[in-house]
Amino acid sequence: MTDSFFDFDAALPADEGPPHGLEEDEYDALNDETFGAETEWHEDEWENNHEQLAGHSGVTKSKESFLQQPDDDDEEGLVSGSAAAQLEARLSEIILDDESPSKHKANIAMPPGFWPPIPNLQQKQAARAAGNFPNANPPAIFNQLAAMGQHFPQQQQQPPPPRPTQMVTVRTVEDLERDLRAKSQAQLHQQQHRDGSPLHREGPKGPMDANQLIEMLRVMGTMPENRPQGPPQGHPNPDIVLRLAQNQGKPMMHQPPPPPNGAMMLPPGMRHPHPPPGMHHRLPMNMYPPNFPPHLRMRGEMPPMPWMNQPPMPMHMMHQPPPGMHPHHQAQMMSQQHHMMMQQHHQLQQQARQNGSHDPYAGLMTPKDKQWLINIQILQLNSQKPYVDDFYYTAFQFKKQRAKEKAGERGLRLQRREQRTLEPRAYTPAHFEGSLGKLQVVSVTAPRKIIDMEIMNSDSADAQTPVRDTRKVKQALLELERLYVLVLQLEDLEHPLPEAQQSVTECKEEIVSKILNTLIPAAGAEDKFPSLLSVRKGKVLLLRLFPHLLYSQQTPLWRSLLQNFWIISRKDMQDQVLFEMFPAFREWCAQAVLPNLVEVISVMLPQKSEANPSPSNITPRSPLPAALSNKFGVSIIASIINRAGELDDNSCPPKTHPDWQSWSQFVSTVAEVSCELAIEPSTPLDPLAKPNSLTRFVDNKQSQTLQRLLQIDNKHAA
Amino acid sequence: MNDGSNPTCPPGTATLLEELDKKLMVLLRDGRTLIGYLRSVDQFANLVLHRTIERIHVGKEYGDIERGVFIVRGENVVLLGEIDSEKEASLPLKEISVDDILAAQRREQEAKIMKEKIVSTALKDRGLNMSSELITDEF
Repeated sequence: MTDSFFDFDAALPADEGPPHGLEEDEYDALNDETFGAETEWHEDEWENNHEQLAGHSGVTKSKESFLQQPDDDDEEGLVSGSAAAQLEARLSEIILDDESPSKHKANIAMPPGFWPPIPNLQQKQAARAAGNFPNANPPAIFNQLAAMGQHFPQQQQQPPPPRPTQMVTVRTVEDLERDLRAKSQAQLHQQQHRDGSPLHREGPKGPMDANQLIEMLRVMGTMPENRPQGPPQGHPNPDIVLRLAQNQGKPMMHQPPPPPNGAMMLPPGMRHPHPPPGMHHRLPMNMYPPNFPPHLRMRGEMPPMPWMNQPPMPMHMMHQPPPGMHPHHQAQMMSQQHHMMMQQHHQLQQQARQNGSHDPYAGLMTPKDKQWLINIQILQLNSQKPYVDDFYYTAFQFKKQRAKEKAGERGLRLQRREQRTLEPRAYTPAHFEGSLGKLQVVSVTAPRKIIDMEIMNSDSADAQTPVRDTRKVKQALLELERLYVLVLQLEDLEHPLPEAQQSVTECKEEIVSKILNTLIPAAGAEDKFPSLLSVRKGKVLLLRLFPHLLYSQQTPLWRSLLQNFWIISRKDMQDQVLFEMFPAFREWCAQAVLPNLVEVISVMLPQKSEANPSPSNITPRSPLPAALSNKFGVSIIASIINRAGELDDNSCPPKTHPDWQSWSQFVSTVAEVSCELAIEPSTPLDPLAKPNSLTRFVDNKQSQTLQRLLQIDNKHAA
Repeated sequence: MNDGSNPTCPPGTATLLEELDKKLMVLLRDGRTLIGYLRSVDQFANLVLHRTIERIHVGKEYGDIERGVFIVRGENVVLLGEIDSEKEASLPLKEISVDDILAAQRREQEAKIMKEKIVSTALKDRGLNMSSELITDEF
């Protein structure tokens, strides 16, 4: 173990074992001498010794008695028994070790309890401190301070009894705080009766801990130096210091964001080589005249006072942040910044007032508040994929950039929004002392399922059918939404913006297959195609989908479309979207070979269904009549016939191909149906080009019908 | 020294910060119209209105009630707009006292209830049961 501490002998006395004359077994270390009745201290001896060394009188005794029992009899008759005296004694004890004006600059502002007590050191310090003031003035001053406005003259005549310094410093700070908190109310009443301090209106709002006291003392310490004509140290200094102490509470009132703290009166960062000579005319910022309008004061505004024109921060404190800076100080610095901003605001106000506009409540939201709000908004805009999350803004910026480039400027790249990210904080749920288990806490960053709630749909007996219909439509719409997302992804793959392409994770084939799985039913599965195509959205979906599909993929879709032509055409009366599909069909048809055509028209051929033997060739659900009565349908059929004619002309496949059989069947069916149609068939969009192809398949009469139907130009008639 | 000038919002965003310290008319979801100076907002568009008056409009007349400071929860605001001081000076409406306007409002409410009753009985006669829950008008 170290045997020296700052060159002081810190060696512990070695364990001696049994005292001289006693054997080991005869000697009992845990005996009465050590622990029992024999341990009564003979107060006088050590007290006198201590008094000599420490040189102060009566400070310590009251503290000690307070520690033991409040009702302890005071041996020396000096313990008043009142809380005030004890407080004052304790306070003086703190300060005694640390503070002396001449040592002000050298000392670091630590309360005595900060470092572990060192026996010899304390006494030496006390001796030093005491030595500088032979008339025991500091104790008197400190006593007054400690009293905080209580019984000033009385305390001066009651020097507190001496006490061992070591014991005191360990407990001083906590006890002091406790007591101060309890006393804040008492002080409030006390101070109102005092004459010398017109400025106080309320006591300190919060606990004033040792730090504040030390600051007070520092101020007090500097002041005497600059008051050459100042009155004797006794009276006014405590006044000012007390006011300072009181006013420390005020900044706390209008600082919502930083927690209420023992705000230092002045910015610690502000340094001044020496307190300016005129300092004593200036009082700290928070001195308000008694008739100050309270509501204005709440906002930190003040009517222009004569001393406001001087630099707002009276810097009469030289205070270097100590190396081991107390967390209080940091909070105080924040409050200083707020203070500074309030003053800037006040200056702005002055300017505005000079301009003539009178709005004393303007600017309640400081720029800092506004910036905070904007930061929240920016945070919400943060995104790694702006094309996905913020589509409209991104697309707009893209368009603007395109326009700019067209205009000739070589502009900057597409700029994203300003991004601000919170530092990711590990979520730790709140923890309360002494509670079993952890809390269920929910926040935006850490959501938890608190209530198990499911939405139950109530069944209503009435209006079933319309409900069912709407439900079907809604289901179709939902399905379409899903498909639309896939189609959008397909389109994004070809979008000029690289971000858009990157946003799609799957390849084209996968997406297409997903879509087709829904549109083209698997064997035995329910066909959703008619319901989807009944809605306008579905048709538009198909429209947008066709450019991305391979030829072979389109065929089944066309087939399905024709198969369900009844429903689709009926529902299309309002929408009229089918016509827009015609160009796509024409394109498809132009590349069709006979098998494709046959596949498509197969739905329109009479089917020999064993399950449903019907006398007529044409199944009741054959789409042909519907197709012929609808302009779109007629156009489809006409295009098909056209194409077949072309193929026939080119003889591919050769004429003996069995498909031509089905084709001829188809053509005759068409002719038959068109004859039987009750209503006048519509005209196709593309008139039939080569009528002679028809003659191979049908007899003349039918051919004529067809020609009439399909608006064949008679000039070309064979 | 104009330090700490107002920060600007990111482009393409909307903010209420530009409306601070302006005289605004705020329409609430319950139908009330408040006119006051907007002093503070937050991320939920909660509003702090200062020197607020509640203006009740009945027909071509209106009445003002002094209300002081209002804190309005953002979700209850339907819309708000700046008041043009010139246009306010030349309102085509007639201002009447608070008691008169409240009486007029009461009469208007009663008339509305009467009308609703007539409509609902007429519908009931025709077999349509219109309950008040189906009507979602807020005011």
